[in-house]
Amino acid sequence: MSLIQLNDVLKIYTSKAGDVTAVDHVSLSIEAGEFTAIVGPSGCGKTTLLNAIGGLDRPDKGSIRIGNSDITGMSDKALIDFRLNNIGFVFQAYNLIPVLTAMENTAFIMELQGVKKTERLQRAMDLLSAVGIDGKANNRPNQLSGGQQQRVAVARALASHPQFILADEPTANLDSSSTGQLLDIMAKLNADEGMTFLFSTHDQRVIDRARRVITLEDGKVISDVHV
Amino acid sequence: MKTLLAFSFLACTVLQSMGQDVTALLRKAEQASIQHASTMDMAITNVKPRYTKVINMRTWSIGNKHSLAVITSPKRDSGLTYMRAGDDLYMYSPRIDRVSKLPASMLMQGWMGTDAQFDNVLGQSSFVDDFHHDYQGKVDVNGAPCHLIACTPKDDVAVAHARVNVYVSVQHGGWVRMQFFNRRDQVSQQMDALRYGVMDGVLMPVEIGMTGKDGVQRTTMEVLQWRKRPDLTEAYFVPSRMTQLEP
Amino acid sequence: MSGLVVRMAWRNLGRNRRRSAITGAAVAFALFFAIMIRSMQLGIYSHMIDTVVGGMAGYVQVSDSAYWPSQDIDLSMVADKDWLNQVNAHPNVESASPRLSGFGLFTLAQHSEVGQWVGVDFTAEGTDSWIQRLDAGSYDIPDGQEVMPVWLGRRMAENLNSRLGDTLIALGQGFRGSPASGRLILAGTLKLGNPQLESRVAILHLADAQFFSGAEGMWGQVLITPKQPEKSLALTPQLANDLPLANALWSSWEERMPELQQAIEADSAGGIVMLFILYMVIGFGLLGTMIMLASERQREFTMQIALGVRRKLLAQMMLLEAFFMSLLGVIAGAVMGRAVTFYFHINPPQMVGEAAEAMESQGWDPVLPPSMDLSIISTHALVVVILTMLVSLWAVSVVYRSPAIQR
Ligand SMILES: Nc1ncnc2c1ncn2[C@@H]1O[C@H](COP(=O)(O)OP(=O)(O)OP(=O)(O)O)[C@@H](O)[C@H]1O
Ligand SMILES: [Mg+2]
Repeated sequence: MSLIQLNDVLKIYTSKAGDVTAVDHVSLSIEAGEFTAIVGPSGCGKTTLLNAIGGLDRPDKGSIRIGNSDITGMSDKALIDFRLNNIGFVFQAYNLIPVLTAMENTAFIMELQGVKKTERLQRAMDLLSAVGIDGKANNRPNQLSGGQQQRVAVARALASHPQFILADEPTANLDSSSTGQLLDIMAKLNADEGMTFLFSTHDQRVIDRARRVITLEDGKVISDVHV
Repeated sequence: MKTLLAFSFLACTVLQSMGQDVTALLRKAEQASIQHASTMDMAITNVKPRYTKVINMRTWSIGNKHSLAVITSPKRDSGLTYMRAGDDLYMYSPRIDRVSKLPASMLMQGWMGTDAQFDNVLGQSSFVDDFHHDYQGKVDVNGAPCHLIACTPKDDVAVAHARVNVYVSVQHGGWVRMQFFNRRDQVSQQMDALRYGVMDGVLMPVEIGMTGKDGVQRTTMEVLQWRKRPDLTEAYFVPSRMTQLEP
Repeated sequence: MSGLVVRMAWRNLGRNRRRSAITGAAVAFALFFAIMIRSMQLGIYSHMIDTVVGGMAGYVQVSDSAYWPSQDIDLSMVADKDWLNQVNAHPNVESASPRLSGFGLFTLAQHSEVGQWVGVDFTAEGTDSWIQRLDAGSYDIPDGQEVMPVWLGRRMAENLNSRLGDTLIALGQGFRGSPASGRLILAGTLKLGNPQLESRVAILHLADAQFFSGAEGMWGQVLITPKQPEKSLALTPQLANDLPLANALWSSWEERMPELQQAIEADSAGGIVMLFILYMVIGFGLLGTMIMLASERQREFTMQIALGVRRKLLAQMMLLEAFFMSLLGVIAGAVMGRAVTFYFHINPPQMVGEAAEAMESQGWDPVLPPSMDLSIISTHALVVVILTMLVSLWAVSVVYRSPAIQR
């Protein structure tokens, strides 16, 4: 059984200007351990698709199953808890909590999960060293560079032992060396720990590192290539 | 027409002569106890809802405006002395060994918690000079026929009463009842001569009842003894006298 | 979990220090102002009540059923010491003491003053309060001597042109028709906080007053100070029930002096209206701040909801943040308010000019001693905190309206 299963997912945005079919009857399956990029021109529906997979937004039609759970039928509240325990998020704008240190940001999700203090500090420290930020564990986000913040975001996403990590254009705000470092870390986590990554990108260097590339256009999957 | 004129002329004369008679009648009624300088022992009984108090005193007086009274009992008040000399009012208290002049306005106020006024105890108001007198006819008081004389103050005099009704006995010419009216024409005080007796050869009221505003007679004044004292003069009534009396 | 909430709420305060400081200052100012207004108001009331009621008229008064309002000495009650002992032993009674009073004329040489003499049992009333009232002289004059010591209200003493040791002549209506008369030695003058009282009251020993007026074995009234004087009105019927006395009338000062009570209530209501307006203004100010703060955080709420943070937790965080902000303000406001009221407690402000005259003409000393009642602070601190919490419900509603994705 695949890790993520999309079945005929449809998302239409209605506005005064007219209806936009952002995701057009997409069916997809993602297996555990994949390192997959979703690509396509701006406005093709990448973000919309990832939001639907992450349980942040509901499709108008079709179903999404993650592991054994069909998330399309879940209540808002249940979805929040589901996200907490099953999905790691990395956002384009890093979105660290400004009043918490790198360490605390990493431990944050675990604290919500109720992980014991010693255990969560240990794991946070391990994760920070895995992403190469252990030297700045006590810095607040505004004392970190964009690349460092995004690495903390990856550490935070990993902290909860999610089933997969969802990243919408994680490198869009990074320079090329930071992009390289982040991709190295993600690829290493994928290789060493088998963590599944699903990310969208415009960046050719990122696309080059992906092992599967799904291309969207006007909300439709127009190609799906395993490298 | 002629008869009518004649009648009204007659009526005027009768009334005029009657007017003189009324004043004479009143003068005679007032005279009984004040025509002689005298000394008197008196008991005043005051019956109040919460207590009854008997005050004994001895007085010296001449006319109706000079009088000296010393209290002989009860013990607490004994030695207390009041004096009226003309329009002046004095009190002497042995406790403070001092004569205090009291305001003249006290004359019309209750004396020692009784319904008697200072004026009733120390001398007596006269209604002869300052009042108009109207004869109101004969009225029975306690079964005895009386002349009723209504006294209203003359315009230019300031007096305490708006009107006084004096009832004079047809039989012996003494007063039997005096009713004092206030400005709202309510009876503010009433005195009744309850009993007449002869003291030292003079017929006088020897028991007087005082009725206050509420219409209840609570205070009675009884003359126990009365003697003429021709030797007294007005010169006797000086404040220093008050400190020399033995109760 | 709650540790996280507390930590984040606390740190959020530091994100916009200036705004937090201004908000805290607004809260502090509101509280400070409220404390000042109420302390001054309640202080004046209790000053009024203490001087007139506590000092002279009594919180609860027991007298013959016919005694009030004429206060005729003839309607005094028979002294019942056993009953008085019972009253004093009652758990709700602080002290009970008999009085006997009447009116008289006080004369010294050329000067005369009409006044009210009041016989007081100094030992029963507690000498402390009387020592406080002493303006000059002393109480160290043996009871029941040849001479009767008298303590005059200081204005009355002035009006009589009297000096300590002078002998006054007192005349008045005594008990049951006996005139009251006596020689009184001026042993002291009293400050009674109320010019009317000070220009008319003459205090005697109770025994002297009884002798002076001939009312031996009589009491005009018994004054009771309850342990909680502010509850006099409710306590009066209870005491009357617990301590039966034939033909007695029990009344609390509110019943005997409704004008004072009404004046206080009206004035107090005015102050509360003023505070209400103040709170409205501050409340809208806080609401503006809260609306701004919540919209600034909107992105963060969305992001945290996406990460899996429950809305309830975010709401708790916002409430806690608001609470911290108001708490800082409350502490600052309370400390300032307390400091200033304490200063005025030590140095009561003296009114001057027309206001002082107006106050004097109504019979009050033109001083404004503030109330030191801590409940004023706690009450208004609570009001301010509740106000802040109500206002921060806006942020809570923003949290609950936040979606999981940025739109
Ligand atoms: N909230 C919305 N309301 C209306 N239309 C929307 C909304 N969000 C997205 N769209 C439209 O849906 C389509 C897909 O948008 P989406 O954000 O998924 O594109 P994208 O592939 O992520 O683009 P980009 O590469 O620029 O991020 C676009 O045409 C967009 O204009
Ligand atoms: Mg996008």
